[in-house]
Amino acid sequence: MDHTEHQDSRNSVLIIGGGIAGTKASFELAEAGRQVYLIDKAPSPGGILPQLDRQFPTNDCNICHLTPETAKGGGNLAITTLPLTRLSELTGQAGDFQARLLTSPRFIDVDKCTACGACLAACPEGAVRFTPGLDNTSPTCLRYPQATPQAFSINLERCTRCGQCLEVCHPKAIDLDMTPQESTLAVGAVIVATGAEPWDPAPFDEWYGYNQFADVITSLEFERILASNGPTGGRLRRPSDGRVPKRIGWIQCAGSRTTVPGGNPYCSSICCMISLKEAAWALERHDQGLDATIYFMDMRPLGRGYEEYLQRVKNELGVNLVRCRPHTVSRDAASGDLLLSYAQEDGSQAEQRLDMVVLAVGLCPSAETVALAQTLGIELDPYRYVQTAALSPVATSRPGVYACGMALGPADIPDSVVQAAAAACCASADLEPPRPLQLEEGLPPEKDTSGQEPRVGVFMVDWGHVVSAVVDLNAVMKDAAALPGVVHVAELEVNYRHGGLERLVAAIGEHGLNRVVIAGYSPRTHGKLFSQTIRRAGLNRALVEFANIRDQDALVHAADPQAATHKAMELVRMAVAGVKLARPIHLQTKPMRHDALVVGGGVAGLSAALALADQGVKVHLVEREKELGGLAKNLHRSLEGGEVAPALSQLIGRAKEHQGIDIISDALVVDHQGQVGAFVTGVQSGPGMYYQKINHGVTILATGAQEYKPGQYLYGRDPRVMTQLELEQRLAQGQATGGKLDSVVMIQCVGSRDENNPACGRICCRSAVKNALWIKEQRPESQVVVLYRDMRMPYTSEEAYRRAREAGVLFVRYSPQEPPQVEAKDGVLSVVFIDPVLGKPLLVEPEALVLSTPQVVAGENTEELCEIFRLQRGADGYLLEQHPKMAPVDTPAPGVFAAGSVLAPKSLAEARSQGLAAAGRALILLAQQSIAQQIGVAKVTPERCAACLVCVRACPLGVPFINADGYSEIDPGRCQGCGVCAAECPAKAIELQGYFDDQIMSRTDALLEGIL
Amino acid sequence: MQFASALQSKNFVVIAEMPTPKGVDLSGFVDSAQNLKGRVDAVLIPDMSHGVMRLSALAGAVVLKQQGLESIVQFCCRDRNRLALQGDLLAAHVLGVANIMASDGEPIETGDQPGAKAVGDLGAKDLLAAAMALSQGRDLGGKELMGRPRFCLGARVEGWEDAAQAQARAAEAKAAVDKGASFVVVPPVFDLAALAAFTQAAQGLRAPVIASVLLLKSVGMARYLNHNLPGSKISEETIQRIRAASDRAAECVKIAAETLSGLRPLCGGALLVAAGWEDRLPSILDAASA
Repeated sequence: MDHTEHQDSRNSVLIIGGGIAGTKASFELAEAGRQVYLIDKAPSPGGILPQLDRQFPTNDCNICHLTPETAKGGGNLAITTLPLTRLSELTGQAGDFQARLLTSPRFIDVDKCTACGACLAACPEGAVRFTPGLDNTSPTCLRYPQATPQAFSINLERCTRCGQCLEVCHPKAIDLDMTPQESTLAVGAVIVATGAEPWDPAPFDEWYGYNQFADVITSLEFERILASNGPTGGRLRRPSDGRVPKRIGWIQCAGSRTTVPGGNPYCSSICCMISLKEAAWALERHDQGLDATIYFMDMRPLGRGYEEYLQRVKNELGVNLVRCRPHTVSRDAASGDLLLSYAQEDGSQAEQRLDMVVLAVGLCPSAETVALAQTLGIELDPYRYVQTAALSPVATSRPGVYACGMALGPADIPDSVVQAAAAACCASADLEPPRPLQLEEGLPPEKDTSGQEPRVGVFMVDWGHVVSAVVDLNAVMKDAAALPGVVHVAELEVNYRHGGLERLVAAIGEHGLNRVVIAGYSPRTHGKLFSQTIRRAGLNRALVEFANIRDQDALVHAADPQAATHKAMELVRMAVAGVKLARPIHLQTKPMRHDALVVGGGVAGLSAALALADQGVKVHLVEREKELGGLAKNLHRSLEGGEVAPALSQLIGRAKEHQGIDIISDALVVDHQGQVGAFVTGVQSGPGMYYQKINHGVTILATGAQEYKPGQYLYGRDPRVMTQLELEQRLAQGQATGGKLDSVVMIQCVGSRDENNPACGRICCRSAVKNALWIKEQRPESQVVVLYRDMRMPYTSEEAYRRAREAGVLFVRYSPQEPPQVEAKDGVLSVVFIDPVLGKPLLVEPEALVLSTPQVVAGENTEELCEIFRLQRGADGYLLEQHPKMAPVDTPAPGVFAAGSVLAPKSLAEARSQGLAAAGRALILLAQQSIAQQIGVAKVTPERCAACLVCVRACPLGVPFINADGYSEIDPGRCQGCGVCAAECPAKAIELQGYFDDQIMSRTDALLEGIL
Repeated sequence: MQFASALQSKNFVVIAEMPTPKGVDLSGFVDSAQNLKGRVDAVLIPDMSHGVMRLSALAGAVVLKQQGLESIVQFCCRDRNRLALQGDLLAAHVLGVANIMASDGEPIETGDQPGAKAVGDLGAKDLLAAAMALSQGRDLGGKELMGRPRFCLGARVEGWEDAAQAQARAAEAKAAVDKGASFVVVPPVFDLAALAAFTQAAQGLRAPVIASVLLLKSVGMARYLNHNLPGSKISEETIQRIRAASDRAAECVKIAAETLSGLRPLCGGALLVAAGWEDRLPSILDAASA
């Protein structure tokens, strides 16, 4: 395999690692028309994510989000996936790299393998190698049921060459004589997404007994126990004797936040949430008197809405939280119980009997990343993750080489997804501008099916066998086959690339199908995918219907398989009845306007504007204030310790000088209309209120948050009481050096994690430690006391926390029931707090009291922004993203993206990544030459319209109007297809395409057949 | 000169501000004007206000005259010297545009033409004097003219924050009227009581006071005005009213209409300013007459 001759380095990117970060980066680039080479050392890419059962805080299954993504590769996107492949050398420079690759033999020909599993069964140890340590490992391996490519592989090291597999393999796919293959790629940029590895508890066996006691498992192994496709089929069983555990204990920080050799000094950031999720899910799914207890030092839920999730899990689900230092696990030989010993906060020792212990293991840099860094010549940080800087959060030390996901350090999925889009955006800047993409490119002409008798194909799609676990699919298929109009019924194999989607396209041709029913998934998640697939077979996109026998049946009726099977038949009957009357909806296109509007000129907005403008997009940057810079203007040092002002003024300076950026400052957005590709936004600027309309194709909202100004603790009434930002100003002036800050008390969580603002401020702990260290740096003898509830110090900031303690900063925990008491009497400022170790009140009379206040939602502004752009806000008041995990910078409005602290409090690095990510997402749309308009809009039959104005009044978007001919007209470009007008129209003159009355009647008739 | 006689005969005149387009597509401009025909006494055409280059105000006035609307043309002293200003005054007369408002013009730096230079030859008061001189048959150089143009002149005064300042503004208005102004426009009114400070001080003014009614667009705009526009006092009640509305823009139209109705007994007229939302002017008039 040698691509060198046929490929264009100026349009190609190499992505190393196929986990969620690498996969997302691939799609960001490929959808913008780039050629992507995705290599992964494993037989099937996927990374850690497929091993997780559920994801917090939504508790939905990851696979549902990942498979539609990987399946897109089955379409016409230019992604070449090379499994079992490593990079051996990278020469050249940004824009023109030569990458030498080495592909290990799979010993199975991917093109021939049908993933039938015969080889697996034939192998004596036969089991799927999926989770190390929990199920048996076989020489042949399919990593997970939804894997791409859908093919097994053989681990030659364990193969005995018995030859049995060769005999059973009918397609003759197995070839044990395959040899490693070398190849060279010319690419313009490289993205490292090699991820991290779970910590191995072996070095701590003395304490945790992971290798001694079968019932001590890691959090990742517990995920497999919970997973319906895992070794216990999703039944909660403990490994030693298969008994149902009644008492499960989670040990946090297993191998993290420790200086003991073999452990990690840093905080792995995501283990608290993983344990909360596992405990919650175990309770929800398996609660038969289950005691789920988490033993922890600090609870660190760090993402948006995670603090609220913690409260829900604790208060509503009854997960127990014990603040302590868990240290040793032993086993009572008589009862078989595990004994967990821990030190309580007051220093006393305690012990708990448990049936099962889950070690919340942290993450380690992957060996691959470390080796790769050498090959690439990029720098690593002290913990051996890829080194980046706060204001260039995805750029490595080698130009043209970027990194994202856990290769940069432990990260949650949304961080990985944001970094992936940011890395894709940066990589794209090293390439040539993309060739404008045409809609319908490479698709066959659409067949005219009008007047044809319906020939319906019904396809059962059941990833992960979720439906078949409850529903008798054969019975449903038999029933479907007997329905009039149905000419073909088949089960589609789980995977698209070598199975499903191609087979669907083929079946449409072979059986002359002109209608398709997909039974098994929600159109919400998979609608677009299947409508695109049938379009590839020459059918109109509207000629497919879904019978959601998964979400609406198998998942909710798991307890009653018989009734569920019956319901599945009914759902399929209804879908068949509906699809028979479906008519084609023809795609309407509009030219894409290649301007971008960025609202907000803080770090996120500036980053987005510059990234877009650097790639040739005309940007209109609207800023409310007279000056650019946002909240970062008040910052002197970043959380990582770097100086903010030089980097910020560089961003501002570049934006001001950039030919492609039109800055409108002192300005407000006052109105907005149109749709993706053709937005028109009214902006009013200056005291003269100069109003201008801006035409643009995409929008990025980055209006930020504001600093909370507390009313408590004498703030504003005593000059010695200040916020962290105000302290920072004084430190920048060197006030501690001058002896003005010899005694300082800081109070954490002022204005957060309370009734008014249940959210965590996310970065106030890190700001406090940063400033405490700064005081100590200016004057080591200063006394600094930090009163906290949980010190939330993710990843490297844990190190800063340790340094602060070593420098003599006192950290004292307070409980929200007994907050510190602050008083100013006779000119003396006093703070009284309870010391949890001594159990009694202590008094400090500081020179300064510093309140750690959060960024809070800019209430009125964000509210108005949402009004104008017709977007939703979360319960926390912040703008709501499309999906908290998988689409963190998208909004539900196509073409409208968001970045920075308009979404939740953000650090500088996060704001910058999000700005770049939003720009990356926007670039995909901007690469299109034209935009397809909403399918399924309302349509008026003029002859029936009485111009009664009901639709004009009913439409929430003000779309219908009475035209010059005297009837209601609906602009398909503006209609969002909500159907309100169609429902209200008394003359039935309006119909929503795809929801025709006769279709709905026909579906209902099918449901009620034989009953009425 | 229907407008000039309306100033005499009517207790309350209504003027709508209509900026010319930036470019030569007149469709929106003409459509908005058509919707106002017969509903306002005149249309005020700003002259490159805030230093934003647009189609010239005089051309806009001629276009509207063809559509059957009478205009008041703003003359901004910032962009022309006394030759050009006087020449254009004569041009206005021969083109049938008699209503003129003088303005100094905002700093040119706030505009959209980087590097542009302000002229600053005459001020608004000088322009009034020039127009008066022209109408008496002589130019500013004292040279005699062939034929005499006729104008109906207007003047603008700035906002006031207290009674003393209102007094000073009233004196300025009186001076302008003495110099020949037939009407005086005051800045946007959000609080009817605040207007009284001026109207009381300006009692006996021999020309009608025309109060501006600015259409708010959002809570953000209201806050911005309170912060940046001297004398602007939009009450918290009004702001919360906009905030609570399900359709904020419609609520703002209602508020403007209420102000317009409230002004009738208080002064001689109103100037409706929609600042870009000219398509909503008819709904303000509808709501005010309802």
